[in-house]
Amino acid sequence: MANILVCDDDKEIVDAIEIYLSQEGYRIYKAYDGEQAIDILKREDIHLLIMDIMMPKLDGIRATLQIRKTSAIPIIMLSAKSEDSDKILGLNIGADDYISKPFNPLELVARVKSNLRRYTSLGSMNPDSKSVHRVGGLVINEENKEVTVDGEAVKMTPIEYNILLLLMKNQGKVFSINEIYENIWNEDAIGADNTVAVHIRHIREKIEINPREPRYLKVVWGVGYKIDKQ
Amino acid sequence: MKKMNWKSGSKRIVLGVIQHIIMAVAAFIIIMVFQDSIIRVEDFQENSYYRVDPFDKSPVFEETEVFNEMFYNSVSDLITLVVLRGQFETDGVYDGEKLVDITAFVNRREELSDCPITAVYYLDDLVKWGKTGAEMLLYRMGKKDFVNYFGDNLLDISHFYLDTDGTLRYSGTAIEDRTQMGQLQEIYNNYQQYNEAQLVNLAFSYVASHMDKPISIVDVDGEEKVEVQMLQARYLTADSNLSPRDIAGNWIEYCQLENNILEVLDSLKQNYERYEQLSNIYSAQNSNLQYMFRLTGSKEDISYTNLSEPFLVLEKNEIDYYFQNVGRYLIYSVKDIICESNVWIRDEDLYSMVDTYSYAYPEETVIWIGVPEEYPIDHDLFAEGRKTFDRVVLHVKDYTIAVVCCLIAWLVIWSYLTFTAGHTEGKNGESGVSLNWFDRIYIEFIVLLTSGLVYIGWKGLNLLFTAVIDHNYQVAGWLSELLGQLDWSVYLVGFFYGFMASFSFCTVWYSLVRRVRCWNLWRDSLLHWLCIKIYKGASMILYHKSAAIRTLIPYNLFLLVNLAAVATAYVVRGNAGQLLGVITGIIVLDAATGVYLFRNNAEYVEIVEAIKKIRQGEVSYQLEPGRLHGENQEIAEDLNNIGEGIRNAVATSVKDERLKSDLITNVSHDIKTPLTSIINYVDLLKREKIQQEPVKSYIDILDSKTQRLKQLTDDLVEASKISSGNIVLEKEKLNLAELLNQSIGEFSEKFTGQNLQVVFEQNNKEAFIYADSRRMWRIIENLFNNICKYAMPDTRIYIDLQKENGRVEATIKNISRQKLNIRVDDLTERFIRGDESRTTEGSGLGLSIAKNLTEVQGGSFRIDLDGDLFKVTLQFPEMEDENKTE
Repeated sequence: MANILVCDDDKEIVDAIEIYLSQEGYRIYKAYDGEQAIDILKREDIHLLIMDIMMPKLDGIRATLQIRKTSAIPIIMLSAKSEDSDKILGLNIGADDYISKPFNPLELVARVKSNLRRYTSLGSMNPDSKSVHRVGGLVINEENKEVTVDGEAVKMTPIEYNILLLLMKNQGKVFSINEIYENIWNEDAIGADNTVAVHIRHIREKIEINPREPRYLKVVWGVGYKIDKQ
Repeated sequence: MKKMNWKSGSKRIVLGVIQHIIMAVAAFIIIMVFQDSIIRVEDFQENSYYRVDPFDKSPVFEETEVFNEMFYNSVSDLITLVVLRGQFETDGVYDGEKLVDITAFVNRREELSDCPITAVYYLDDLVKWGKTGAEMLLYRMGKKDFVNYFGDNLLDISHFYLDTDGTLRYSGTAIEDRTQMGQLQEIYNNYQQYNEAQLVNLAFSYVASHMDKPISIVDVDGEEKVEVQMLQARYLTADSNLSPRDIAGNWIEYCQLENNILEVLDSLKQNYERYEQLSNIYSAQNSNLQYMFRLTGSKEDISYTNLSEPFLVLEKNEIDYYFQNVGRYLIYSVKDIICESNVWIRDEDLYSMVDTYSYAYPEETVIWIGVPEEYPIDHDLFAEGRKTFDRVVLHVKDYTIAVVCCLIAWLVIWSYLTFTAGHTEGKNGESGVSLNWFDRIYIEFIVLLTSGLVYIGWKGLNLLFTAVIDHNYQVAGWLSELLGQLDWSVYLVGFFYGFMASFSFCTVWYSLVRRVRCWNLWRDSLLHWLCIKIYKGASMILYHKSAAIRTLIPYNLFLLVNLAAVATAYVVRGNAGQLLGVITGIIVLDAATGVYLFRNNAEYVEIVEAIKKIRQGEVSYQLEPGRLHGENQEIAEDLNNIGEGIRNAVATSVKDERLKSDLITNVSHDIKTPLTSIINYVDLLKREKIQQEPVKSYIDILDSKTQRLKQLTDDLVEASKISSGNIVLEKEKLNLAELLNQSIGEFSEKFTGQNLQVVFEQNNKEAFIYADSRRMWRIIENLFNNICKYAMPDTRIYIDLQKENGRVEATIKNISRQKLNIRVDDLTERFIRGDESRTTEGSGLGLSIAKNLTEVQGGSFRIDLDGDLFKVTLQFPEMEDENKTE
């Protein structure tokens, strides 16, 4: 089982996270500031790090920068700072994921699992044939029409599958509702409605951990939908 | 000042009008009485009239002055008429065949005749001739003919003599002694043979110089001709059918005869007209007057009368008796100069009347004139007089009483209105004095107006009395022209005059009373106004002493210097050098003053501009005090300080707002950390699957409240950031239709959960706007969340998207679950929600954030409440689609 280091200056939060992750079978190491976390990382074999940003002695940002010099383990940042700029900063300096406080424990667990899967098992997987499309942990296989997220198969309806496939095949391209409609239904969109939007919503609920903050299927508001290249 | 009570105001107006009408009626009655007492006479003298004295005390008409006047005038007329009848009538009827001796007629008043010759014409011929008019004709003849024609005894030899030189001379005077004729004739004969032309010339010049007529000499074909005006003989004499020229022996006679004929024609013409008129007026059919003249001349008695034929032959006694009983009468015997009469007439007057025509009235003439008091003829002067008397004099008392009553009524109303003038009662019964606009006019103008009115009134009164009392038709002429028939127009003018007199007087009077009552006789005077103005001006100068000293004194000095320069220039005008010096000096001084004034004003304008700029928000604007001078420099420095102050204040305010926003953000971070623990442990509690009540419900409450707290902190941070302008927009082109569809898709499950059905009326597939897409989503999200929270389940949500006039408008309508008893503005205020109870989920910031975000992006956000209908309207400027062609 994986070893997870949880670092936060708030002891209760660390304890709560310990409870959740222990229930999932992970082994938890606890630290209460950046220096402690780096100490533990040197001593123990840690597979994933959950770290707060605002901490005494050494804050999360500087700690991450230091860690990234020697280690490639997944780092999930956990912060009360919920601004976009904070998230972008965190992800840019080397964090793999960013969860703002207060967080939903289930989401945290899901994200931990997701990151660990990619780090441990999927991280080494080579990009295979052309019929397989991959973005991060999301993989769609045209041959067996299978969709997996972080290795876990997701059940989809044919329309949902087709929409996802369209977006996966054209990564980075923004499709408007009408374009999706015309591509999937093969007929002219007479007055676009929200059918496509509802389907997209369903797809997101199936492939995203937090559909409100999607990692893969992103909404470009007022323009359309896209899946970014990674 | 209280507003005038309408009721009392209108009562006063009505009373005033009644008062004026009363005065007008009084004037009307007075004018009517005077106008009615006038009897106009159709006489040969125009506009002759009699006026019955309305206040005559006589009990009967025949005793009145006017009756006596009428009678007197009639007697005079009759005496004239009888003379004329003598001239024109034979045996009481007009006789055209009557012979008129011209010379005798002209000299009828004199004993002696002035003309040795005469001509006799028929009366008819003369009357007709007179009517057509005498005509003069131009006669032309030779000198000799002229002399021969007119000078039959002029060429008499006795008028000529030989002077000492033996030349023939005309003496110019008739020589009485005709015994020498023979001798002179001889001399004349001698000379006549040799010098006739000279003789004729002498004779002609004599005749011409003594003739009363214009004579001219014209040259016709080298021969001198005489031209002379002579009467055209339209009618010839009755006896011999001759013209005056034929009758006259010489030019003296001719001239006299011609003059006499002209005189007769003229006087007969006038007499004939008068005769016709008088005989018509005093005929038995037209006059109540009865007369009888008996002229006992040398030959026989001639009687003239308008009585019937039998009276002519009555004896004097009988006639006396008749007239003594006819009513008012007069019997006058010329010889005795005695007048028997029951009419007031003087003997001397009668005598002088008759004496005027003494040639026509022989000594034995007797005159009887009488008027029956019953006046059987109803249209003559006396009958009219009697009627007027009955109408006016007998009723003058009634009229007087009416007028007096009017005046008393007027006085009563006047006293009442004077006493109550301006008196008003307020709503609460307190009394006061109210003034109208008229009372506000300066008293000086009122005095002027009053003087004008008095003048006009006085002139009008004069005019009216001239027209009515004196019956002067010339004066009244323009009135009748103006208003038609005189009588009625005068009444109307009287009425109008009375009304206007009363109105003018009362208006001024009541106004004065009100002014006195209000004690503002002085306050509303021009003098007072002037005093105030002067006082204020003086106070102003005293108050702004320094300004007065700085401005007025240099200004006056400047004027003085200029004046002095002009005076000096005038004094030294002879000396060119000095003059040049003075002029140069003053020009330099004036130019310097001008430059100084210009610079001052320019700097002033600069300062005003700077103030304007600062006021418009350009607080960093600074003047350069170094460039300015004097006081302007100080002002500029002060202004810069003020600008600095404002700048600091603005900067502080911006900084404060940012600090506030940062504070909220930091506090929210500090809240979030413990909140995370709470949420986690509450979740852990839930995982314990405690079934024990009420612990389970407590945990549920904790769960929901922590969720709400989380939402609140997020919204709070966002709201404070937006309102402090602490956000960065990432604007791009986006399709609002697409965005709405995406949003509906996102919310589809939430809506379905509430059984809310979305009706999206989409007229355009594309509605591009330029906005921050994530913020737009946030707006729509907030609105939809709001709907989920507050919309009545099982209803429809209507969404409309329209493009109009370059704007994209989206409206979202839903039915509220609860009654919306709240102002629209409050809905978008922070922390205020539709239910105001703050018990349900949400922070109350949703609409506020949506509104602020919309406005930050240049759109407009409006909420309309109509009953339970909740409507949000979003408007954004439309963005042109550049890729349309693709």
